[in-house]
Amino acid sequence: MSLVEISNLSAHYLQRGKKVRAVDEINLQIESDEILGIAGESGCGKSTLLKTIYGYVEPPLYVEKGEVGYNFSNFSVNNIFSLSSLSSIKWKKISYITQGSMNALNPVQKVHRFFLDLWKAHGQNLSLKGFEELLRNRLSYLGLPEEVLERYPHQLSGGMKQRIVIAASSLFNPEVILADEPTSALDVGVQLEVLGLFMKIQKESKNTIIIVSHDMSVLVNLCSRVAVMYAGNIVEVADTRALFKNPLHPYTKLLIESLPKIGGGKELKGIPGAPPNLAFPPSGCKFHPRCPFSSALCIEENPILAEVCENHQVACHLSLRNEEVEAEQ
Amino acid sequence: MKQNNKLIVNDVTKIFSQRIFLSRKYFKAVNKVSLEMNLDIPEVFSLVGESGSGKTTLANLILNIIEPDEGDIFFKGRDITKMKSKKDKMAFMKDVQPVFQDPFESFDPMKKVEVFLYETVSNFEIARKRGQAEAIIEKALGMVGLSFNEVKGKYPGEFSGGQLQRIAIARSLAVGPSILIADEPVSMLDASLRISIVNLFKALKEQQNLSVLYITHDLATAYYVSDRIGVMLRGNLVEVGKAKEILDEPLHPYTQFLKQSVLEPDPDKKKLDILQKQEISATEVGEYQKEGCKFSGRCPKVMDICREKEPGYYESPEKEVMVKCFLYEPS
Repeated sequence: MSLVEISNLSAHYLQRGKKVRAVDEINLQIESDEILGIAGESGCGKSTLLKTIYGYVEPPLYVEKGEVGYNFSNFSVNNIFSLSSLSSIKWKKISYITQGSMNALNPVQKVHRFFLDLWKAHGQNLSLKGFEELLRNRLSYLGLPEEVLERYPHQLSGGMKQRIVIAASSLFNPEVILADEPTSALDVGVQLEVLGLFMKIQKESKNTIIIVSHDMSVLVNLCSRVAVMYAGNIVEVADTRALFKNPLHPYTKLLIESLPKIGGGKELKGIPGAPPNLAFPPSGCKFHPRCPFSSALCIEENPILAEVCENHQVACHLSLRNEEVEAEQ
Repeated sequence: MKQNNKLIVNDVTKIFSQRIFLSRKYFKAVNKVSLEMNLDIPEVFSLVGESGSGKTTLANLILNIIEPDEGDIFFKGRDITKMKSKKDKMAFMKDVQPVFQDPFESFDPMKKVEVFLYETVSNFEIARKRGQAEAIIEKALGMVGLSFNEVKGKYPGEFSGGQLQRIAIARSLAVGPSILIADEPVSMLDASLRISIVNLFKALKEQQNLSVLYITHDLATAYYVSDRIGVMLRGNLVEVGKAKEILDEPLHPYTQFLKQSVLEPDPDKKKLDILQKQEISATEVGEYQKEGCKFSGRCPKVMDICREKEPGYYESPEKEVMVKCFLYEPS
């Protein structure tokens, strides 16, 4: 049993009577003790997927069908959408670092108050003294100076605020940490340190981190497994090394080839065309209008995510067809 | 006139003040920066650096949006800070065009994008008649790989970020500039779209003889597109020279730090495990207020002199690179 089991999940936004299919028929198993990255262009539904995994579904977003189940170490949740209240698992079992969460700190209160509020709302079993001890241990483990507690957010740099939010998210040792573009707003030097912080947390508590980013180089360096999303579908899932060394989906290939490198002298090309409007997605495989290898089958039928080799799943007619050809020979 | 076809930034300083309760602190957002671009030989010049290093301030100075406190900026032989008449200013604006960071903010969401293009053309009095204007716009859109029919009658919301940024660049091109000042033009865009915009700058340079001042924090695209690079640190230009020479083998410790921090999309070159914790301080260090070299607080090769005196520019013996660092002081 996997820690997180996403089956047949479709989540749509209602927009002027039209359905925007941001998350469309997604099946994904996420194991414990792994760092999973979700990659894709903006508007491909990766943030929406993260929100639905967290059970944070508010209009105009709604879940059309499907389930997100959790198998925590001491209990399991069959479907997070059927829970009447999420407050029993929030922060303690799952925590969610939203996009731009470094601006979530209250500007007129010291950082310490933020942590005290956290204790009041979620740390019922802890005495104040116990909580203070936990907090200070945590900060010193993560290498954050204790004096940040006595600062106001405006006195801190962006990287420090992001570190505080990450420290808070891991405070009660949740089994799953969801992070949405945690380093996009940071400078390169700081980005490296913040990603190092995630690694440190994961190494210590062996929890699962799901990280969404449009920056492939962040995912390569941090994640053990990467899922690539396109237009609401997952098109490829594989171990990081396999995905980058041997990408099978044409979209993944183009995405990786379009990344410039220092020291590389090759002429690069972007992916032609633009991502589709999710209110009116193209028929069949949603990537077919931009795909250099599309055929008649791609226009008619949407390929399903299938395992082509060990731990490497792809949703593409091309790789399936190649396999059949190989089998015939 | 020919030899004056240059953009010369000469020892420019811009001082900003920050008021904290009753006290007032001054810091130099741009400190004695000099650079030169010859417009006859079109090039892509990149300014790179962390946020808060004064890149945008320098761009605003060159665009004449703000005025320098010290030093002068010459464009085609004229001091841009001393331009008084509207006619001169218009001529300058026609020649030096900006491209902004966020394409979604550059357009009015309630207006069709073509209005924006028409407005630019009519404000600069390039075309009197609508037909003429349309021809100019069509030509500008052609340069960025779009056509007027694709753009006509649509609102900004109907385009993707990459397309909007192309239209914004087409708007700049419509007035026929000789240099584009592009301030973080790709940082709001996806990785796959970035490369197409950056390729566009390359093509404009080669086909339209257009110079581009490309401001970015992304070293990888800067390496890919630029001929020359200038590295900025807290208002100072610390290393200037050929892009490939600088980024293949950076001389200044700050450039080395920047290059080291760039994550590579290659599973064989993971960087995260090398990371050893250094001291992090709680508040942003006032690097702007530092005496001597601004990097002395973070520099692994810091010497006593770095904390006391500001380094001058030294030329590297082997390369065409200027470095502002005592390590390269000829003894």
